[in-house]
Amino acid sequence: MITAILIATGRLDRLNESVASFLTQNYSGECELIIANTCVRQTLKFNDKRVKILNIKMQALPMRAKAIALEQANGDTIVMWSELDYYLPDFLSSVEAGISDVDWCFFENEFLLSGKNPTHSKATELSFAFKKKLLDGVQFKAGINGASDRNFIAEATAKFEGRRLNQDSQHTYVVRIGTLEERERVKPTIRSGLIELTPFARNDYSVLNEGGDFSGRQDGVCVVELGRYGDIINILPFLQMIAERHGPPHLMVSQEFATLLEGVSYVKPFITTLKNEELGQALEIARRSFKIVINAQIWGKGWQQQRLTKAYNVESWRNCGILHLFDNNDLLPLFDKRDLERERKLVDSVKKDGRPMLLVNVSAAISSPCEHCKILLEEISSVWGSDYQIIDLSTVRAERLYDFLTLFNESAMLVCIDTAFLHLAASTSIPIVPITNSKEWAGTVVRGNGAMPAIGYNQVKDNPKSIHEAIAQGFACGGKEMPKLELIERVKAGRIFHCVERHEERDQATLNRKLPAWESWDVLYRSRKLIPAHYWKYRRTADKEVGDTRPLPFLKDLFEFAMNQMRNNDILMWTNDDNPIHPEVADYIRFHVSVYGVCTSFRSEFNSRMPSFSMPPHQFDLGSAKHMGRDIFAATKFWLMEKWNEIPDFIIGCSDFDLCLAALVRNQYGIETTNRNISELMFPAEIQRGYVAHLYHQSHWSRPGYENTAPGQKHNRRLFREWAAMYCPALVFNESDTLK
Amino acid sequence: MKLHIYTLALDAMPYLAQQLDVFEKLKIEWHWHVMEGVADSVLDTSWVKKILPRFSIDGTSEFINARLMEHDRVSVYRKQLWHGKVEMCNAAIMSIKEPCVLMQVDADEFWTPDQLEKIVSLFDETQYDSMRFFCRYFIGKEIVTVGENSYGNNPGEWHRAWRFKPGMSQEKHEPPILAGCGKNCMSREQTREQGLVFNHYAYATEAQVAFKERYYGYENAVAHWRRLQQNTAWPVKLQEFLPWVDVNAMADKI
Repeated sequence: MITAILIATGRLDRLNESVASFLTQNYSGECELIIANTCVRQTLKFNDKRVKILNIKMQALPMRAKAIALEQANGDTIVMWSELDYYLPDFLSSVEAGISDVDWCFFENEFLLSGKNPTHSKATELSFAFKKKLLDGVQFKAGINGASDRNFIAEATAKFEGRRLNQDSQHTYVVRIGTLEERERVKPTIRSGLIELTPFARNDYSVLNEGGDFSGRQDGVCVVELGRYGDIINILPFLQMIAERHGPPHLMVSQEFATLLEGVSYVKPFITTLKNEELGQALEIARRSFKIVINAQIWGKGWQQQRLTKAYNVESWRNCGILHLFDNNDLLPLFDKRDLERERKLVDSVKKDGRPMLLVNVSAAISSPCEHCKILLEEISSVWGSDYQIIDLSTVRAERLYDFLTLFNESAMLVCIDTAFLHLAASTSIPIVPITNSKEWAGTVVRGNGAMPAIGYNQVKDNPKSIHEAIAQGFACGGKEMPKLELIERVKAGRIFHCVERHEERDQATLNRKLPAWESWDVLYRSRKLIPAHYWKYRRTADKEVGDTRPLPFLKDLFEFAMNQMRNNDILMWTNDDNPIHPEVADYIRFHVSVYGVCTSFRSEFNSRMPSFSMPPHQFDLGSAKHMGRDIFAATKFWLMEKWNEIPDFIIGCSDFDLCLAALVRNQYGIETTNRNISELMFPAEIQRGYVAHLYHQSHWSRPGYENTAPGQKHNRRLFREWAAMYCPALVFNESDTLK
Repeated sequence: MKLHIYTLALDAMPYLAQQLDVFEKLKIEWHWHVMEGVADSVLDTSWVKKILPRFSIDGTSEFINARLMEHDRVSVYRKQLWHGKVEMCNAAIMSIKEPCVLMQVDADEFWTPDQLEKIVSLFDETQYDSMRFFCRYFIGKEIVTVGENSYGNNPGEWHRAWRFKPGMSQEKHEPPILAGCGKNCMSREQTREQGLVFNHYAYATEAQVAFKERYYGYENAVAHWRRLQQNTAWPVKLQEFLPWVDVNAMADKI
């Protein structure tokens, strides 16, 4: 039997965590935890037969409390259990195995968790275990700050035979929480009296041994759109895309607009008390909470939004990386958790007679109010009121905004100024006459099959009667057939193959530069997030094929080598053999390729030392130099097969092929590559920087006497120029086939 | 008890694929742990030559990708450079969460399914903590070493099976020592009586010899080995062909 002795000093939060770590041990033998509580104003209580609590009702030194606890110990093996720390589930079983034929054991390594940064650290007294019989020959003596334990350990290890465990640090079972200074700052809880323990682990410490992330950020995707309703509805198709292709995303939303999400199954609300204008703070929180954050919102206090499209809601789609899909009317907002009974009641409450309903909202608008539009209600009533029941939507109240959907579907038309109704109506078949803000970029571009050309606010001001022509046109066109809106279970992306050319490295300086890169890959290979596809035996080489001086491999041979091991939905991720990669790259590439299809990445170039990969990618990149080279290309095998004949037969180790891949990827998203923008980051063709790094060195291909004359160089440049002539005519080359 | 097997793999074709064929014929519960990559020459294997970090270049990696990565009964652990073989073994050993029979089966060490099942049943039926074995040590396609206390079967070698409890870890790789495991070992003579002698294709192919020439630093090993393959008079004193073996070692054709 093993007895763990814990001296409690009133630090209840930490105590609860420490007790939780005892209760979650996977040790199958008998064990007990004796808590010697020295905080006299607290009387601890916990109902579990494995835990014995000794509330010592007198001021007692830890040494005295320990002695009292040891007297009560039933185990033949004693473990000192820290109140402030956490023991991973394998700890006790490892102690049992390690001490079976000796008198003591301890673990050579611990995790030291300072803030959110775990590091390996040499063992302290936290993990010492000993046979109880040792107490016949060695005694705990007084000492402060752990000196009592340390003296005991020194004497015990000198007198008796024991074992040091986990010398390789790979499997570490003790998590020391906080540096010495941080631990000293943990003060006893104010609570007093009878206190029932509530064991609870605040973190999933088990990820520490799996090379997992301990940043506290969740693995999921968080889209930030705080509101208003219309803005959220506008991006529902994007959220649905993520859900179908990758998994349900979180949506960070202001609490006042969060009820809208009760109508959709495919979004996890991440509700904030921030106002919708507090975008900067929201993004900060989102980035602290999630590994992947997409900002869909285009407006906020102090927020600088690039305006590269005709309207704010189109811009939001651009932010999301789906601008090229904006006109796709199969991508409409889906509400799949509707309350049809409630919607029916709403219809019944407004429908007065057998006339078809004409819905009008010309007064209620917050983001884009239109004072002079109000007269339209009367205008419309006067002309259309005899044949249609005119319903002023501004007076209709519903429990949820999406409760209007049945009303929309059963009405003849919607005439509406710039409000959320315009966005909502896109998910119905109702003909829409939109009256939108005339201010540049502020007017909604209305989506959906029933949308008629918009009338501007100014136009209404100049000629209110123009509304009748628009309504007549709307009736003439009628409601168009709607695509079936439903959540589709799509084939998810499979494994990620890290496709990289390898060769023997004889130059020590080059090797020193590459070793950190290879170590960074190993982190992802060990966690199986990347599968290595290392290409050593080249099928063709540049020296034999084009007469270059170097035996360089061909890009498509490398791809083919990896693709031969892949299924169609697997992802190929190419890098060079000297690129350190961020531990989060695999998760991000999986998301990006799943949702968007294909990407490249600029590298974060460093002249000397790289920062630590423990920081998130966007912070990792901060100190880097900008470089136009692309050092990641990622796509599914399926995509590559479709584009195979379009990819030129480039040589790796010579220039330009990465730029061609970048242009090829941009074409996918309808982004035209020019000499000017080729070095700019164009999302989603290029992912954010910080996922792939590079330590500066002079490229072999750029050496004098090689760059413009080597056969491999000329081969690649000619191919790029020929490709651009066909697929990217905006690119201009000079006479040596290099970009101007 | 369930059988857990661990295997270190670097340039381990074609043997690794053949091992899977053997394990898939087992009628008992089994799980195979495969660790791929270079073991840095540290600790108890510090005498071997340094190899730069890499995975296999003989098709082993591709085989692992294709057949093992998603196999229900296989766990793959990969690093291009491990901190020695102890780290490699412990990656597997420490992931085992159940009492079991643990076996080290190197890629070139072959058991029959019947033998493996017998080993497990012996652990079930006896109190032994571990087992040592004899092997048929192949130094050519049909050439084996002869003798029980010399090269190929030195005393103390081929400690390959243990009664495992979670929490045990490998302390040393050569020879393998499992910390926390009892010392009651079934001897190689006893296991041989049970028919438990395995085939060890240590130098069976030229590719293996070439690898060991580089890794262990055996000078001209390939040339020596080729000469042995061409020999016609058997048995022979092995040291006349492979200078790194002990003076008592003999080889014979089977």
